Amino acid sequence: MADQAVERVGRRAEGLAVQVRRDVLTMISRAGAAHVASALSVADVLASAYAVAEQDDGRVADVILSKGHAGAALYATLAGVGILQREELDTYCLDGSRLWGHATTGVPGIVLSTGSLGHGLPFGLGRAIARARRGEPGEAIVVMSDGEMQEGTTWESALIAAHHRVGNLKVIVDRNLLQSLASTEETVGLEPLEDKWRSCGWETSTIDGHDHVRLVAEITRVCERPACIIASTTKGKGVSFMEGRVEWHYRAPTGDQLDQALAELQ
Amino acid sequence: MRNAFIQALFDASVPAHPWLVVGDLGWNAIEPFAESHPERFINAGVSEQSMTSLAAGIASHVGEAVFTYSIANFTTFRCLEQIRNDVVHHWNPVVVVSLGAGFAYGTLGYTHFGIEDIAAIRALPEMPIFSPCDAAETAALTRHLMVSRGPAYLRLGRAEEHSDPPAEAEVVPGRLRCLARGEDAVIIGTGAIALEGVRASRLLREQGISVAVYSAHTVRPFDDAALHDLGRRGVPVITLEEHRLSGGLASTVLESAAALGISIAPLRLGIDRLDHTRAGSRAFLLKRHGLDAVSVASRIHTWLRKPS
Repeated sequence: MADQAVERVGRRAEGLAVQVRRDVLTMISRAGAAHVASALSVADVLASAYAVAEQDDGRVADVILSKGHAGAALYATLAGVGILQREELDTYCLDGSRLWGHATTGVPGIVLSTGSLGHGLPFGLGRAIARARRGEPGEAIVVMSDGEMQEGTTWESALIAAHHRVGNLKVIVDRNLLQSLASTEETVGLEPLEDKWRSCGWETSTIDGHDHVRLVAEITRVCERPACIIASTTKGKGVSFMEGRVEWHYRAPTGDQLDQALAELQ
Repeated sequence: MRNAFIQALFDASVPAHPWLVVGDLGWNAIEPFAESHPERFINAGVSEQSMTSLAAGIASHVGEAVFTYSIANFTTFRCLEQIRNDVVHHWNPVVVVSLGAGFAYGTLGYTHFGIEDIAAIRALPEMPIFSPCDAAETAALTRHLMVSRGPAYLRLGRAEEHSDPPAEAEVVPGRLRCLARGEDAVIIGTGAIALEGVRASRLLREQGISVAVYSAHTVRPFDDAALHDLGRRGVPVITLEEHRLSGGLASTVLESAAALGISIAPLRLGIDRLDHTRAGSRAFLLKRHGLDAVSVASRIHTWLRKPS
């Protein structure tokens, strides 16, 4: 994609991401649901992926949110690009809704219900292989959490994809450094993470996961091998009192907290 | 049975373009498919969980049957969550094929015994379960699964079993298949062990007892109509499986009977307690567990002759 286009799409992603964060906070607060910080850290990644997909040039065929617990961010992004009606976001996690807490099929644009880590990558790999073998265009982009790097299927799939040179597959790792009980490095250390992906045979890069232009540039690179974009992010990004804190994996913002958070996101 | 399975995949009369994803197994069996249709074949390596999710991804896109293939527990227990979440929940047309049902792998031991797989898959509602007794059933069921457009479990034995049934016993998915006729009792067997049931019925005939034998090549959906008929006629029923007694064929029959409101107390023959103290061939292990033809005939004889 030409530099000018990358800039333009990046700006579009930036605008989307602001709305995604506002929607995520509102949805999760209303529902009293979990995972707000996980949704906030990945908002820019999803906004960028969908801003590229929105170009409708067949470049992106699948976006699979393997870290399904950030489902609120996915739904908000789908609303941002007009795939979902914004009014439906109000039903998130409420009785009778189509919008379950984790990303779930039955919603346009979602091809795999996730929530158990380690499924999105091999599934997306299968989609990419099917397209490549049939000569169909379009990439599969699989958005993963860094905690998900501890699942065995991550490395199984990394080896398989590299072996078969599945160049129409990209992984974006939401590297927010936290997981359920502590930081990733205090739990089961992942570093050096870039080295691991590279040694598996993937085109690997580490970028600022909140830099939309950079994200768009990486997402639109044409590769002959599968590519892994390690997106350095902050869990809870955008809300000062949520950033980098484990408890916001679980807590939903109360009314006052919601007001405060939304004020920060003007 | 695996050769019958592979050959069926080539059947040009079936309007399908199936894929085959193996977990680095199938030497001297899968090569014909891999060489003829490399565009629809993948060896995922020794990575059964990824094999299964990958197959689901392919199936979800192409809409054709994608067969996964490995030994007994590797296709099932190793990746049961993948079957549950990525295959069954989404109803993606992945057909999970396992080799080595029961004690087929003999001396290779416990890790290679497929004796709880039916129970595991039965816990996933609605996923069809097929357990053929011979090459003919394997071929027919494979052809059926190539076009059935949904997930399924296909449990194969190891050897190329051939039965000698009455000529009119065609293979109809969902229906019991008659392997031998009889009036005094009915053996319902699943998998290659059903042929052991046929041998047992011949032994019993010499003792003046006439026992019919049916192959339950379709464990789910089970042939409730046939079961209802047996219950109505009050025919003594024996279930026979190379599988734990809990959760397999016997459990299927009992649950179906309850749902149909009929009272059946079958003689349940299967693996009651696993004896892993001595290695041996399938024949040795069957005998050790009372599942060889002689033991089966003897147990049925005793059961039928018990004063009621």
